[in-house]
Amino acid sequence: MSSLIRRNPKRSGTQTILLVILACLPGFVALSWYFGWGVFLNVFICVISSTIFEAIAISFKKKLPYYCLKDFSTLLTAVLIGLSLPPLCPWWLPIIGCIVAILIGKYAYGGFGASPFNPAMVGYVTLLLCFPFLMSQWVAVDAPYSNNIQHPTLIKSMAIKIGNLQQFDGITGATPLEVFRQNNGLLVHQLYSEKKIFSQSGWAGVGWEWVNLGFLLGGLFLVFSKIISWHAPTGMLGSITILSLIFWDSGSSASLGSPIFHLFSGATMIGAFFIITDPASSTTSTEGRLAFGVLIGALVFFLRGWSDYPDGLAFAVLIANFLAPTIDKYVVITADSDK
Amino acid sequence: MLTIEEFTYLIIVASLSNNYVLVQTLGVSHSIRLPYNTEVVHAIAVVTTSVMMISAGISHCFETIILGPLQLVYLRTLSFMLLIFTVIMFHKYFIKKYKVLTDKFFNVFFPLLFSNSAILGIALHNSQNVTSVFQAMSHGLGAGVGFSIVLISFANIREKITGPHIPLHLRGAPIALITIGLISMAFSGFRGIV
Repeated sequence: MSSLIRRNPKRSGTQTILLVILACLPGFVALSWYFGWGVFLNVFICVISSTIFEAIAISFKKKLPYYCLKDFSTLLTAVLIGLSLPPLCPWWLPIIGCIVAILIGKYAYGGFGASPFNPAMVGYVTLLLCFPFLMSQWVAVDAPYSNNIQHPTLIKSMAIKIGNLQQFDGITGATPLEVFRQNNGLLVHQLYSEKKIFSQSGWAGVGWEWVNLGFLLGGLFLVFSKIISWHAPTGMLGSITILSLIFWDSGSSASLGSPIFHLFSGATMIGAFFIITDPASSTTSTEGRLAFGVLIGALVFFLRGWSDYPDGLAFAVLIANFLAPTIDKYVVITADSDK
Repeated sequence: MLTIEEFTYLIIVASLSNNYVLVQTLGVSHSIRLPYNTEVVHAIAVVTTSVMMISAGISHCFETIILGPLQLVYLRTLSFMLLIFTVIMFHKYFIKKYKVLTDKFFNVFFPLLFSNSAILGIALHNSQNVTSVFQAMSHGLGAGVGFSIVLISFANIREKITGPHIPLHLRGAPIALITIGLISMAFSGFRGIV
């Protein structure tokens, strides 16, 4: 955080975080447009529960709970968890994520600005490992267009979250990355024409392209108003682009997807502009941030291509957080000694 | 002989998706309780990797040439321990002869190698899973690389997890174990990568 304040002497840390939360808005609107009320409910549950757990954690430190609300870092963590969860997951899933993120990811390390790991990703990875089935139940965005099924209303979404997802069969479907992961033997252009999630879309899967464009818009706002530095996002997006070009394989059945597909699907943009730019858990130097971004992009691409998880961004972020002090130590020293 | 595919496969499996410290939880204490400076950490990483590779090869040879034909496989653990001890003593001899490390660290450094369970773990794991001595050695090399990644990165992240900002009851070993647990969760993302 200190590096951010130094960059912008006119703005306090609290204002910076509020602006970051505000910049999530285009992506949030796009997510809500395509995935229904569940996104809003997730963010709402996350904000309420993480504020409560933050107050509990602060009370252990013998401070007034007011301190937890003074900086809005918890709010940012909660918003990021809420945006990355499947929209119609049960109500207790965001709460468990917030418990882990706030108590273990943040306060076990001494609170805001001290954690070596991104708290939101700690919570998300825990959920991904403990509840793999529930975490893969994304709402099918192609269904409402093809079969004239409408998104569940607010009341119905709440009923789904409190009750059982199974009784609303046909709501969930595979994400574009899962479709690519489960592809056996189809050429890419066949895949694009057969699967509705691609054929009804512009370039990277129904809904997901607009969600990622929304986050890109918010991220560009943050970069141009000098709230985040451009190094880490550029490194990550650049390495994803180059690696997917190398493994594009001219659209054969072994292709891992085009660069535009990788840039605009899954969690690429929210990761590049909102998650990996967290100053506490990333590297401290600017050269290091570039290397940090490149490392995350490479890990994301390889985990998407070969691991069991279709979108490995959370794992990639945690691994890079672990390697960040090492990057700082080696990359920066060599960069300085060249001068 | 060993093909390049086999070699890459074994290195990736042993260092990332099946990392001995993070996934199989062997040698955890050695990777997290080293308060030494960077050079010593590098030396430990290199020597441990070398010991892992050589002892994996020798123990595989010993099992296929002596223990297997004589039907003494039940002596595997005991004989592997003796073999590893011998390999470590050879390393100690050469390091002392060529004065690679200073004596100050020498006395604390080698007892740590003897008690590293990952070295024995590799030898025992190899006896069921590999077919040639080259495979055994590249598996040992991959495991050593994975161990070194964790060791060096953890030595560097140590600054962030020590100090007065950590809650009183979590200082020291507890926060180190929480950290290694979180990293272990992160490495489980590599599952299925080969």
